[in-house]
Amino acid sequence: MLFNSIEFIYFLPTIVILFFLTPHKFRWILLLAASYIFYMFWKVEYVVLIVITTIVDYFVAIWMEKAKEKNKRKLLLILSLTFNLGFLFLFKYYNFAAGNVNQLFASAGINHSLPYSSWLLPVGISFYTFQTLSYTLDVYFGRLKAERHLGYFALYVSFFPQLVAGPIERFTRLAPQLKAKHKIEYENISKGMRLIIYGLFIKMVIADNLATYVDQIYTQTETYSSWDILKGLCLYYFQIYNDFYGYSLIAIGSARLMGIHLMDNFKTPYLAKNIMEFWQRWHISLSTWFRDYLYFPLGGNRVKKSRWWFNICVVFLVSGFWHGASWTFIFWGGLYAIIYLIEKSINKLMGWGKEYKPFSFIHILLALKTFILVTFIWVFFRSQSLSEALHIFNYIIHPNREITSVLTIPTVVWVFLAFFVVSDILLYNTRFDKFMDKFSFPIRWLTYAILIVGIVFYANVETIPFIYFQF
Amino acid sequence: MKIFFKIAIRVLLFIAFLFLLNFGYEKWMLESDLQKYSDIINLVRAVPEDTEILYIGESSNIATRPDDVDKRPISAMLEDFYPTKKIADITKPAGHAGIYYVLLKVLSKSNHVKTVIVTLNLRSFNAQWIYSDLETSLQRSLVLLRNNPPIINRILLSFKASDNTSLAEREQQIQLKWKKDVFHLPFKFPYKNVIEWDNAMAHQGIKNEKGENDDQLTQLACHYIKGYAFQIDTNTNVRIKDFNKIIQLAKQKNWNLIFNLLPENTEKAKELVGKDLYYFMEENAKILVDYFSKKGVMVINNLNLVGNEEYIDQDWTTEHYAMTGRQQTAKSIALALRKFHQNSFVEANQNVASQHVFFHDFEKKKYWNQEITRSQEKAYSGHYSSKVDKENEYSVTFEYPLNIIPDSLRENLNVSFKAYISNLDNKAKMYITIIKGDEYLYNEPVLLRSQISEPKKWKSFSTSLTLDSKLVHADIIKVFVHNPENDPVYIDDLKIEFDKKIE
Repeated sequence: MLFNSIEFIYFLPTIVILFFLTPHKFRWILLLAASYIFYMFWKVEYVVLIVITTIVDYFVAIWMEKAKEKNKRKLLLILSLTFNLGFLFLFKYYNFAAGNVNQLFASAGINHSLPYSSWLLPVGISFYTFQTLSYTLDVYFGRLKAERHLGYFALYVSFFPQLVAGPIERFTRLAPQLKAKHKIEYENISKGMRLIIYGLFIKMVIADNLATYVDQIYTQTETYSSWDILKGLCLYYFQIYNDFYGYSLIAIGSARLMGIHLMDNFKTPYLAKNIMEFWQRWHISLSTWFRDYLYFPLGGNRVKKSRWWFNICVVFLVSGFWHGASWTFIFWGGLYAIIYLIEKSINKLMGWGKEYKPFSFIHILLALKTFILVTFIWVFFRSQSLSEALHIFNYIIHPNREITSVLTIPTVVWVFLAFFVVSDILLYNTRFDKFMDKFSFPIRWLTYAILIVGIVFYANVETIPFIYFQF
Repeated sequence: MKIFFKIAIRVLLFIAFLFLLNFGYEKWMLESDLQKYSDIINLVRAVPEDTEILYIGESSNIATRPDDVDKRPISAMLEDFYPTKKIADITKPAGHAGIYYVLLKVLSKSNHVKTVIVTLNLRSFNAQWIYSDLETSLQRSLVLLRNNPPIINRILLSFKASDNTSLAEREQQIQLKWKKDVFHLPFKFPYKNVIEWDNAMAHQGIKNEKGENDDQLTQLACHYIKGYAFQIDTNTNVRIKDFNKIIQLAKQKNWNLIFNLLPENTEKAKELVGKDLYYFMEENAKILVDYFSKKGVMVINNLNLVGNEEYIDQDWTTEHYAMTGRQQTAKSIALALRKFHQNSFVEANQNVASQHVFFHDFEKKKYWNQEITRSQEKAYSGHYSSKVDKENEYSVTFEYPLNIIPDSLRENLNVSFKAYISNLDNKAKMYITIIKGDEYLYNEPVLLRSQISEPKKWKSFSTSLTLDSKLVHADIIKVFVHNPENDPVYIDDLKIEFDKKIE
């Protein structure tokens, strides 16, 4: 089920009302059933994967906790990793691997090829796999006690607001909230609704409308002028940001209606002064996951410089590969690693990198630099292949081509984009629900009215799937 | 309790806001949204109030072949048999019963329709059509026509409340259906389902005269298998349900209902794949005739009516008929219609006389190509002209088989019309195109501005062409204006005349 679908508009209030009508001890059953139904709207049979993942990790964690010998614990961890990452490999990475192996075979003159799979990628598999992996790893390292209630554990894996595209929550944060007794509270309803409306607006009105023009640029790049291509690249930044940020806000808002607080996933990333800060502000739940479960176990920064460089490269490359089974994503991650290391070195050399006053001249200048860098790096993320990405850069630096198309963006789209940029600057280091508290009732309702009018009349009617659903 | 009161107040406020929004939307925005997202409504609006017989169908009604002398659709050909009856059509390419039902439902209540003829396309019951990717835009175009307050429909449209299954999922749905639907036949058959049959055909291939595999014919045979090798289950097929809804609607509205089972290229199916495939086609036709006849609907079985040579698309499975095919279908329907309109029926002569002078003032439809460009914005005579601009680059087009024109008159061609151009920089051109087979024997454009010296005024344009010994034996002649620019050009009173060469 998509957040921006009519089914969700019926589904969410029904579940929220039932949630508060249901006695506390049965609420997990309601939410678990709702979560599975939510997922099955997309593809009924793939819910089995979530169930298997849940059951395996539930028992593995308990056995791991009971196991005295380190080797047995390790064996159980490997079992969990094999199941979780095995599914991920099978559904997400198999075709990529098969393609590369076949290419190798062909170049070596071996007359054999691996068959390709026609299975659809299960929506959200990377998200719920990482969520449940964090649980198993926490139990393995003794940071967490294994959950004995299968129902609550299953709910932690599949809680519908964040099931398919995060935020990737930790057990220690989410599970206690799922178990807690929540009373209906006006503040939760109000703030939840604010986030949902704002999230729907930025997804349906801004991201989806921009998608049309970005697609034009990416599908027929050669026909557009260099300036139009650059415009298209910038618009993609705003598209993907609004698309994912919108999704995250709806997820946070939906959970909030029931009194459950999910973590923030974005904090005005395009005002980041450098790549490091960008990753502290972009897809925060994933960045912190990689920090805690990959970067720190590798030794973090408490290692030799060369080893630290290696750690950074591994984290970014794996992060790129997490996003998609393609060389473009690996390259995308690699680019971040290189720029991150260069920035770090320059800052150290020049003594830069200290805190600047928000919106000071130097902050704006550095943010602009980061914006430009990230915009160009997105090209590898959006392109279907490395050669397509390189062609785009080639077209940009060769303006004297035959130009047959002009990128015409309606004024209303620019107006909405400007509205978003201004509102996002106002929301620097805060969030829409909290920000609206400052205003009187009429101002608040006028804002809601504008957002609703935008959603109803200016949403792109074409179905543009959430970009991060493909991961 | 306080919290519920607080929420209730806000819910009421929201409902009041929706009412206000509905009022404003209906008054100022609904029509432009209908034109933008549901212009299918125009097909229904174009049905005159005094229509007595309504023909509803897909592209089979309107498809033509360049050598058709009579380019009228099947629905218009019916008028020959019922000259006193008002007959109208709703033609939606790629349409099917699910779409027809919605369109018939929104037909004006004051309309006088007595009889509705609904196209029953055999292939529309197969998986490829049911799960076709064309469904996404078709279903979306119906959202604003639902029986809800306009603002609710607009919300439904924004929240994609229509079938918007992705392309990959649709492809999977088709494959799954093909895999699941196991053939149940009264004779021994080597293939379990359509996938096996299709694979076998692709593997063994069709041989040409030299005994080599003919890829094109093999592909076509595979298309035929995928298009027709299915067995309709009247309990589960969604299309059956759509037709049943139409039957219910007809009962409510007191319409006479006729289902016109379209002709299929059974000759080609037998030739390419064999009698087994024909068995499927005939069995499905029989199922449909029996099923709907039992429900009191008159079903005309035209399955074998049209011969192979009358199918326009020889390299694909379509129900697109050339002139004679359309005439045969129209006659078959006309004869069936006697049940309801016996007194108005006349025996029509379907022979088309050759002409050598052609004139179109665009006031009424003549079923020439590109009549979509008829516009009331400007006119030299009457109210209509043909508007040509970037949106519709080609004007109403004259297209005619040259060999129909008597030899004695096939010597000289005169073309004349009135043209209106907004500026003298306009690059619109008039084309005379003469084609033999796939070869363009003549395709010379003439700039309109070469004869038009004044902008924003109706001016005469004329040209002549002597048909030399090469051109005179060509197949098809076309005359049209092409304007790829934003500035529109208007054409009126287009006259094409063949005559003797002036010595």
